[in-house]
Amino acid sequence: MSPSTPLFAQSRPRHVRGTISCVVACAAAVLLTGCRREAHHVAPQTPVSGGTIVYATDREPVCLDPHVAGDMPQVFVAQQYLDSLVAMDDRGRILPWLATDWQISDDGLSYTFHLRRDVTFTDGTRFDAQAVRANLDHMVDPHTQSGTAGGYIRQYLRTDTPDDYTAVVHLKSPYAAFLEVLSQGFLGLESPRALARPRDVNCQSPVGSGPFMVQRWDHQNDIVFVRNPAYNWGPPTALHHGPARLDRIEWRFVAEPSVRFAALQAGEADVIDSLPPEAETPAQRNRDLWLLMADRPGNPTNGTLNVRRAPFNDVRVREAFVRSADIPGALGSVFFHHYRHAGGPLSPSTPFYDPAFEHVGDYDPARANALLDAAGWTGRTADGIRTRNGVPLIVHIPVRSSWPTADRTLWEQVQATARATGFQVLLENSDDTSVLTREQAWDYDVRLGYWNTDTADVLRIIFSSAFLGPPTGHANHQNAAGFSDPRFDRIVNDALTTTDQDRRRELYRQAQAAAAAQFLQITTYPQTTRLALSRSVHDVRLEPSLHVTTLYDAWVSR
Amino acid sequence: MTRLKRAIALRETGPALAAFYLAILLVAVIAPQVLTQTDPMAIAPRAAFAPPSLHHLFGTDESGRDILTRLIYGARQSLLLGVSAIALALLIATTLALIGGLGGRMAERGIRWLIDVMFAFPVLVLALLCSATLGSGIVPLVIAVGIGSAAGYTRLVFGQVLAVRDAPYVEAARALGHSPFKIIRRHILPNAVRPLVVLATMGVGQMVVWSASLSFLGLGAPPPAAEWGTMLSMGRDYIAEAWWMTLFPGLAIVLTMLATTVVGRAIQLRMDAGAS
Repeated sequence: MSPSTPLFAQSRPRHVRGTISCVVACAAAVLLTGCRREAHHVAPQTPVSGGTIVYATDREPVCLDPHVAGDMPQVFVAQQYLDSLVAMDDRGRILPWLATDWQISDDGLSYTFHLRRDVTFTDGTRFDAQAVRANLDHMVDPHTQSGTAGGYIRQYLRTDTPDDYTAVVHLKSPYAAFLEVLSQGFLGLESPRALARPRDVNCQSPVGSGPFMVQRWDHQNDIVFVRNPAYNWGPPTALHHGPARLDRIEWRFVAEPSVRFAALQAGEADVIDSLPPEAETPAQRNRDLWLLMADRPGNPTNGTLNVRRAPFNDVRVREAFVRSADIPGALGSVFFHHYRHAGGPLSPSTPFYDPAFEHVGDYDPARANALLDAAGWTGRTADGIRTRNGVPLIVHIPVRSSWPTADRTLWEQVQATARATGFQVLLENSDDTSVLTREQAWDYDVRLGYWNTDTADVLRIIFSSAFLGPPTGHANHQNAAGFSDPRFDRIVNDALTTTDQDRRRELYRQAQAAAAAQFLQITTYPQTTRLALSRSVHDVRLEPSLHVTTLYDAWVSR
Repeated sequence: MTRLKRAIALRETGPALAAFYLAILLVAVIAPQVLTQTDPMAIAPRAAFAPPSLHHLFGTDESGRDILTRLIYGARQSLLLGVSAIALALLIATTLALIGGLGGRMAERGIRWLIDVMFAFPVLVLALLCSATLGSGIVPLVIAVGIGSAAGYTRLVFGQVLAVRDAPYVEAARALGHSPFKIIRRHILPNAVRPLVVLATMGVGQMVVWSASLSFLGLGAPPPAAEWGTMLSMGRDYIAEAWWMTLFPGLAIVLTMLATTVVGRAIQLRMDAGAS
């Protein structure tokens, strides 16, 4: 598997190296300035226990149980209080966590997990094979309305429990990405006793076996976590063993990006996520802060073209639209050159990502114009919009009010550059519910979105015909393009039947080629986790599966 | 003596400056190309976030568009919104007031009740409710703000209609056998509506502010339209880095509000002086 690519991932050796260079820099500064400045943030060598971290984030989860629905804010919360059966390291390898080892049957239909025997949930319930069964059953239960976790394990059939610490998971069809998705926090394991409560109660006060416990959730304000003192089963990716170092986490919701950054600068928050692009340079310059960033694997941030209606039911018009959008130019101005362009259907940090498709849809207005001429869009309105048989070339894009400002601006620039080719792009701002209703009714030409997951199997979710209908209990179709092609379906389904890495690589190369040739999306930039942290905060990590924050190792020096 | 002169001069300067500002706005509304040669929609990613300079007097925004140009072109959008909203509010107010004042006791009671109910909702909340049902965009925005602010004007016109209704000259007209429509048109409307001229002038500024507020919340003109509230909203994320993106649209809104109020007050003083 290809390695993921953290940009500023902090690890212990680098941390020590940072300390040394800081000491050297401070010594030089003292010599040069005549002791004007005190030694600047020389971190203590040994982590200390205790203290609270205030973590300010942009979006509040709809439910703290990540099985329900399954949006990114949920997995960030889940990573603090849940453990998973397996973990993924930063090279994409699957490692044991709550499962000590496992065997996969030759037909790929059953996974036998041997479980740790010393794990308890924070409500006192024992972690065992029954708990594994209860969790997987819960994810696929239609009442859970699990779009993400349930969507990932559609192949799940049942779990047998031959003894207390052996769980045999049976699948309806082979699913080579099973272990990869199991390592995500979305499929984290909860106390079966807590899961048995009504869904809304479990959303409010879920129970896991993780390093922290959810103490309370004050809606629209914060979530408070406290340390799980019994914790002794951290993931293999962690930097230490035993309970978490922090006493508490205050997980605050601060939607306004500028306010979030101001809170960090003022010391009211210790860590902020979704660092806005305009604050990135000031944050880099600020000597009291450090940054922790990594690209997330999956399908990059994009506009997906609806092939089920005109004008994008014609591949030539799709290619013309993709090529008339100057994404690198827009990224430069809107994101201050901090975000790189992701041109292919997979983000570069996704396993089996192939760079060959990075430039398939590059900006090329001349070719776009030629394609539109060939497709019959040769007429022009008074203000230069192309027409065919008197019908103007209009592209409707519903935009959620919760969509970040910078992304809106990005699409305004797409609107401006596409207009030069003769597209009239309408950015239709609306509240989230109205946009969702339109998406369910296929009433859009472009749908804005992204998909974070640690497997190339994402291609099957976003482009295969199996995902055209609404998934179990979930409101929206996940194949937003409406694309349906038996050959493509065969490739992505075949990729699930083999665990041979070379074979999988080849099949996913073919799938990327097929998707890229259809011009189903304008991809913009890879989804990223962007944290800015106070220098008094140490050892905050991003769990490699989805590059989600984990505060298990974190500690504060004050 | 000199102090009095200075006071008079000051009293005249304010309205003169305000009128001058409104005159420029009017030019911007009618013929924005007279004031600027730049295209308000033309993006130039490389020139994004340029601070105010001789080339871009008010700086550029996140897409490299000239802020001053967008303010000038935005004047039409913002002022038309204000004027249309106030016109709608006055139309609703006058209609309701006439029905209530001249339609008999039941109608009078009904309108009083309706005004009370409308007053129970803050203007912006009522406007938000309208926007939620009608969707976003210019026309829904005008309707939302117009309906939202109609209650206050209705109460005012209603009072005027009630006062004029029983005036001797209306009684006389009635006695002479004039048709009800003629009475309304010739006697009631002119007398009831006169105080509204002042209020309407001042109201335009208020409407611009409310429209900008709704646009700020994302309910106004869709992008890439230049609308002051939308510009303000887009700028707020960059306020620490590019203050000019927020300051100048904010100033435009504040100055418009101030100018219409000052001019409205001046008209009121003139009318009062004329009356006495």
